[in-house]
Amino acid sequence: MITAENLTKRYHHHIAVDDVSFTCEPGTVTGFLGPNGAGKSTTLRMLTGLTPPTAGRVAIDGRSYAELPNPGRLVGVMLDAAAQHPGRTGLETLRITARLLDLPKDRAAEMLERVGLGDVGKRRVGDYSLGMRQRLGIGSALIGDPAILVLDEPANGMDPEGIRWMRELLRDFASRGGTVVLSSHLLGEVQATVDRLVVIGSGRIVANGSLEELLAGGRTIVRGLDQVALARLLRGAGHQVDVNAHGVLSTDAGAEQIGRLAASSGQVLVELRDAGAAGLEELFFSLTSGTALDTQERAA
Amino acid sequence: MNPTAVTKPAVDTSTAAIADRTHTTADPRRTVMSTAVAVTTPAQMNRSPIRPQRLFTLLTVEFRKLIDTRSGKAVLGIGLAVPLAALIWMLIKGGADVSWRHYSQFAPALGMTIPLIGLFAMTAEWTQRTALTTFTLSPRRGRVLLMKFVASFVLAIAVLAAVVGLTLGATALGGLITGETPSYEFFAADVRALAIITALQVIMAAGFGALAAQTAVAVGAFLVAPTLWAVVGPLVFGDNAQWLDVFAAYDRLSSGTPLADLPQTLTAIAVWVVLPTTVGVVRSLHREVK
Repeated sequence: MITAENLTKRYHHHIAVDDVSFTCEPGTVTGFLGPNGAGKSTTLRMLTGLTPPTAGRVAIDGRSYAELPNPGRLVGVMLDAAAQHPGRTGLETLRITARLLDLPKDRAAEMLERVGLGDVGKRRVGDYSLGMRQRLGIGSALIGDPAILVLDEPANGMDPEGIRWMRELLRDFASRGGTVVLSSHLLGEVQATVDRLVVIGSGRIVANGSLEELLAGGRTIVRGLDQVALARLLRGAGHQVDVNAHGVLSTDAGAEQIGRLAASSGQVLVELRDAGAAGLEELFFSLTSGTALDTQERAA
Repeated sequence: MNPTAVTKPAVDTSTAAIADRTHTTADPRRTVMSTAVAVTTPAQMNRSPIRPQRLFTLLTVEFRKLIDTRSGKAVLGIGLAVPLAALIWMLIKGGADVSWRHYSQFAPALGMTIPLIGLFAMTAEWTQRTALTTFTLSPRRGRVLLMKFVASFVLAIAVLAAVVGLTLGATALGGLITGETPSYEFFAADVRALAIITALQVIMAAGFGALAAQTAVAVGAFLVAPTLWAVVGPLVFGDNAQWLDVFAAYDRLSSGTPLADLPQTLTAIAVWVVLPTTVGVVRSLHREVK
């Protein structure tokens, strides 16, 4: 169980994280979603005691991270898969962690097998791809059999098979009562993995809730042959209508209401569906708009 | 496709409960149908109680980290191979001077190379960014840094001992080859001097490493700055420069009269060894890991 209360991190005049509060419960996967530079990594570093908060506090099972007797046995952490010594072999990297965590020697080789690196354990990490380093980082995080996992951008650099592997691993971890916190700047990536979402932009939480809550925006997407007339029709019936950049209408009217209205006025509909993630997507894109990443994220 | 039912274990979040919690064994069938499906994971094997990290564990880990990387092995290899090559060359060249003094003439150079072990121990964490892992696994950084100093110190002295052993062997071998009786005069005094210089240099190097955190900057500062002072200082400050001449201080400390000019010696050591080490450690304790 992780409890963050009013976490704030200020660098000179720049506020990286601004009054962020959330809890992560056992048995759940919490996703930190936000564009690059939103404050996700700073928040995760504050959770794990690497960055002292300017204000606010974090408790892990009621204690501060630094007070944990051997933190790796309770919290598995991977903040940057690239931050591994390139001159050390994968096996040796895990052996060192196993030793620090007071684990039997053979745990390192077992864990290497488990994360799919059994064949490359003798190779130097410098020769690993980013996806392999992610697997090694996950192995380091899991080796102490922790109850909590904190992962920063775990899917970064992984191929689709690796992403699926990670997703199953995290779901399984949570289903056995574990607590998972992960961050991502890609909505699609976390949507299939997380139960709860904390959307963060410019250091502040802009949305925080269960995936269902956030996805069920209660809005409907509608497209007809005559969008202008359709919008006028819906507004005339007292519904709120937004038109996005591509001319697609988003409204708070239900699908049946829209269908009846369209039928009664002879409008031809070509698309009618629940907005679902679209609402969240809009929110997320509004955070990233104006940055170069915007286009990339839309493409992804 | 038959989704496996998952029984959620009762979750108790207290640390004690986590130490001996049990997990339901997942069905080995690997399915990807829905998120409510258990994925194969090995049975949890780790049941040992959670104890605080012991200093000795940290020491062995830091010691191991000194020599398990390619660069670590390179420094160690050079530290041993260069003296070995020098000894072999001297043996091949021969000569009538079969003495410890003759065969150990390269030894002072060790005072520059072996201490780099301590420097790399400090900078690697920051340049390779392994500090992210090191300080999340051991949040009490002071203990980690202390053990880095101790491990570097132990390894440097071990390398020195090995080189001294090789030199003794070469001296004896030279005696056998030439038929002369080898002389071991000055052996004890020289070894004492080498040990003192190496010990101070390894702490100074690690201090510079902790201070600069960047390998290139730290190596440059460690190798160049004191030498530069030894050359330029006297030109500018005349005799007063010796107050900050750390090499002269080492020489006095390791000589037969270690207490000569003690104020100057202590000042030089304080400025070049104690100050960078203290500031470096304080900075490393608070440096933000990114």
